[in-house]
Amino acid sequence: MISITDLFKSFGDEAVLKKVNTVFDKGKTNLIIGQSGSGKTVFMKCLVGLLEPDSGSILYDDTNFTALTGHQRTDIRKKMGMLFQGSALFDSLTVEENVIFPLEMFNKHMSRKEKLDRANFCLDRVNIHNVNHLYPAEISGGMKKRVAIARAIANSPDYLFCDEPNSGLDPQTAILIDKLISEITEEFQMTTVVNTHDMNSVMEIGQHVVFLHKGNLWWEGTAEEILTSGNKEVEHFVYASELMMKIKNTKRSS
Amino acid sequence: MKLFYHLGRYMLLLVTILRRPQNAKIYRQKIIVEMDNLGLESLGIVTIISVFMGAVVTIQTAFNTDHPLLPIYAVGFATRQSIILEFSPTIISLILAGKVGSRIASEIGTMRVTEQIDALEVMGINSAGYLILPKVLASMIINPMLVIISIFLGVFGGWLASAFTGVIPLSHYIYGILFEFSQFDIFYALIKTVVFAFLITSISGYFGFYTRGGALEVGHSSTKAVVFSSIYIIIFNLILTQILLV
Ligand SMILES: Nc1ncnc2c1ncn2[C@@H]1O[C@H](COP(=O)(O)OP(=O)(O)OP(=O)(O)O)[C@@H](O)[C@H]1O
Ligand SMILES: [Mg+2]
Repeated sequence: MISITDLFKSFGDEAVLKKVNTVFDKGKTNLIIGQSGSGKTVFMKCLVGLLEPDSGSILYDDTNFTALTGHQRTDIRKKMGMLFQGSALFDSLTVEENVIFPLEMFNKHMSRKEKLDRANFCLDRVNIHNVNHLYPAEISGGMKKRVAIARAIANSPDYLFCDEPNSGLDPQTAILIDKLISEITEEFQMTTVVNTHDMNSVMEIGQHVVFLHKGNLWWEGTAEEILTSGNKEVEHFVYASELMMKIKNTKRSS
Repeated sequence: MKLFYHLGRYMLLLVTILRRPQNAKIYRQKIIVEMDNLGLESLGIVTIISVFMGAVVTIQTAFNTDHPLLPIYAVGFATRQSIILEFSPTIISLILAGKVGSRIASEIGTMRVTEQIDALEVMGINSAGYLILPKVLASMIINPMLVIISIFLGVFGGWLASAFTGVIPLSHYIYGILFEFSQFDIFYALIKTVVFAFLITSISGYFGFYTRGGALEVGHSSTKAVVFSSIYIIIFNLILTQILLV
């Protein structure tokens, strides 16, 4: 569980997050949605400590993450996995070495074989086969995303963060990745936080949805509730596409 | 003002780099790999430059010390001294600043702008230490070896020049290079090399690590790495010479 209290972050005069409060539960896929530039990435980077918030606190279960120094954060970070928007695979390492990397660094008690097995298990879990010895530059964007997910879950994290996991992918692969994230969240009982501006993802996997607007947490609820939020900005976002309008109208008429 | 900003941030980075490694085994493996990347791959350029410079220094000295009171073997002696004291440690380090410095800054800078460094941080890894320390240590080990090789090749270059151009008789050259040899000079050369290796790798690592932006900025960082490594080599050359020889 991650509890966020009064999170405030600004760049110069521009306040990007204004006193955000919410709780991300364990075993759930939590979505952060909002228009481009609404502060989703900044929010996520504050959560994992890549950006320092100006004020407010972030609690990982009972530990106040914001109060820790960079060095003290290591223990919590070992329990985090993160999927970056651009995958951020290490390009000097092969696919397999990328996935083993977090294990190599911290699991001194594991044998080489156990690490390999774990890496292959994770790669298998994201449907990646027969490319273990290729380099990131030699596989497609969708495969990179999946390898990055495998790397993120290699160390069996308690917290999984995904920044736009399906941007730049075809609809089919996008849905596959969404489903994958939500499945492994349940399976490994992780606290998962996903950034997206894709309504498909919201409907598909949104168990807890947080809508950011102009730096405020404007609305939160479930994917079901978002269709009838009664909130002007949320409706604007949700019904931006023709398809969603059609769904709305058919729901009304039935 | 900007200088103090960079100096302060550089010092803080050094503190992070020198923190105890999280996994000594992986660091050791990386040091070996970096010794290959940063050291052995520079062997070719070091060889070519050393031989030619040794030959040129010998010929130049021979032409410019054409005085009846100076013994002929002085040419060999002067060649050896200039190679050991300045040419091998300083010039080779400057060459390496160009080759190794740009490589380090662009490698680490690219990792920064593609969020690979953020990925390391989120995993709980001391990214600066993991990326920079093995390079610093590898260079501090391998550069002195390169300089020793360079000294031998430089003196050999002078030998070739004497043997094939006949600017001075070979026997005089050999007498000259063996004349009043002092081990302290080698020690002085190696101390300088180790300090320069530290400067090149840590300064280049610094510029790579704090790259902001995209591909263009990676290029800028790499240029800055070479320029500032070179400037600090020159400055420290003066300081170390003052301290060690005076
Ligand atoms: N390092 C930074 N320095 C200054 N301003 C920043 C920085 N990072 C983000 N911002 C500003 O914060 C705001 C929110 O950016 P953010 O990247 O969080 O948007 P986002 O919701 O992730 O958008 P997208 O969906 O396009 O990824 C933007 O207006 C951006 O200009
Ligand atoms: Mg974003």
